[in-house]
Amino acid sequence: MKNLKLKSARAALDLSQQQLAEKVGVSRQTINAIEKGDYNPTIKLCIAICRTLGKTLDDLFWESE
Amino acid sequence: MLDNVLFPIIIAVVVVLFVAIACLFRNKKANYDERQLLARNAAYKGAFFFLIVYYFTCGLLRIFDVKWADTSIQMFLGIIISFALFLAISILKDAFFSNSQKRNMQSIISFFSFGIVSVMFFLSGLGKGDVLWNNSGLSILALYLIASVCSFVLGILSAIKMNLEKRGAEN
Repeated sequence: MKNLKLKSARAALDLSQQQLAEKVGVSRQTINAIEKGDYNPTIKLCIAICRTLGKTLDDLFWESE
Repeated sequence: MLDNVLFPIIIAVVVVLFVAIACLFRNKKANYDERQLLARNAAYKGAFFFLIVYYFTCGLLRIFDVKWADTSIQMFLGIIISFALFLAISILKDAFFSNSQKRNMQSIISFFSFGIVSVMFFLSGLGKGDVLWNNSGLSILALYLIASVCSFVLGILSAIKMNLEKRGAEN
């Protein structure tokens, strides 16, 4: 399932996938895979992404029904 | 006979030790993230099981007295193909290239250089009158040919992947 919350949070800060990847310390493909729902990141990476984007885990990674 | 069996084993041990030491040093400098490391693990596993199945098949063929190459040629062929398989899976899963653009370019150049050197060895062998298939089966010339084909395929695959990545980064 696509992670549109992450994509919109990134876009809101006007960050490209490459810029976010550099800030978090992963490759651009990994950010792309997370946004496309092809890869489930570890909690460590989730926290790093949340801190960079100024969001909570619930905001970005909790699926609301 | 003893030499024929011992030589490949010694070479295999040396290769394994070299790769293990290289991996130890590489891990310290590696710039792979968690997804890439997982993908590389899957690639290692794929290449390892390929090698086991390949050697098992070679052993079976030997038991049934089907002689298609010397033991050393069979061993090197297995190593070349499984290593190429590992690299190909890593490249396809975006887990071969690190975040360093310079190092990625060096990898592509290395693939093509190795391919060209292998082709030169192959052509030089042909020039000396060697053949691809002799009395004992595949000759060493076949190894050069297969190594060059693998290198060029990996080089082309890498170039395509890097091009796609550039486009992806621009989007």
